Amino acid sequence: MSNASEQELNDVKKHVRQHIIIAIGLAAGSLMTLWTSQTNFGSFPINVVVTLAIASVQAFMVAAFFMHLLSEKKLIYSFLVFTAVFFVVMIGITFWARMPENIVHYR
Amino acid sequence: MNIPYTVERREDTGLYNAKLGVWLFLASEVMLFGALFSSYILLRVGADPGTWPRHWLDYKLGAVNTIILIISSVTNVVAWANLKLGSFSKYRFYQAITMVCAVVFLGIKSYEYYGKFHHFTITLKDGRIADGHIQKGETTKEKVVIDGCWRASQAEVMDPPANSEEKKIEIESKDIAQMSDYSPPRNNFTGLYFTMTGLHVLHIIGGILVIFAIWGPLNGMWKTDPDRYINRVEVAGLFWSFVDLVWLFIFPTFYLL
Repeated sequence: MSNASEQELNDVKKHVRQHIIIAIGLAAGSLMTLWTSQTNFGSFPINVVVTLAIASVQAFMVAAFFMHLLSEKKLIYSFLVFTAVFFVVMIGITFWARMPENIVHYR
Repeated sequence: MNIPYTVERREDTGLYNAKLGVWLFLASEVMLFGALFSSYILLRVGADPGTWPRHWLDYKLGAVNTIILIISSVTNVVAWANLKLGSFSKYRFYQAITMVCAVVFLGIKSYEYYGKFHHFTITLKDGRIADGHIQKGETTKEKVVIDGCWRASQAEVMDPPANSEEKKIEIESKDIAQMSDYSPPRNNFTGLYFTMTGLHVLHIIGGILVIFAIWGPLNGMWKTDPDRYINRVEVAGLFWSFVDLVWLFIFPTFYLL
């Protein structure tokens, strides 16, 4: 058996309650996403931004609470910062390559 | 030989081996899905108006699958928490729910895939367009039978009106100019949809195999080395939450936008 202290036990119980609240929040977020997709905010790009903003908040909740990222070690954060930087560079290069002045037309 | 840091944390990193490894793996996964999402954005933004499909997927099924994955993430974390509290039977119970949720998710996804491979757009030689699900039992060499409706134009096929009433349509084979299903080669949308959801499905299958292995065949470790066993459950749970997180982006981008 695992040797969990009283403090650890209380922490775990608190976490379980927290996770259930987060799950309800995630489900509510999904319903909200459905609602925003059926609502006209004036232009399609605004709909995209609103929908993806809700998805990002949901993703943050999963990462922060289900994956315990809020209380994670510094090394994990540095991995993720590197990943975010490479991700932005990857998307940036892709879009840069697709800009009209960078497209090479072969004859 | 004892492998160090399988349970105790390294002084410099504050992490045990498996946790360090799984986070490195998840970072590479972010890049993998990130590349696919950036492809999606690029193609979506670059598509001419009216050429990108909308409402081709059943958002109700997508929403149900979202809720199922959220439930599975919660039961996964609750299972781990119960293990930390020393309750192996409760861990087994909650983790079984996680696996059931995964199987239901895969069932719904299979149903969606099945529908797409049986959904056809039929262009007739006289220019009319019919769109619907093929009725295999009634379709013969001479005629094709679908449950669907007539479309006024290709633009209407791309963005069908929500209130289209479906009816049985019989088309003589000799009148057909072109017939294409909703499988991956159809267009960029279906190609990306099957690639990304297919990759996600592979992650679900992989995740559930690992969770099942720890839950069943490898659970002897709970008696011999419980702390290490808890760590295994935790890192498998991290992967499972990541799979949930990816779906939270797939659902709105493909089903709603």
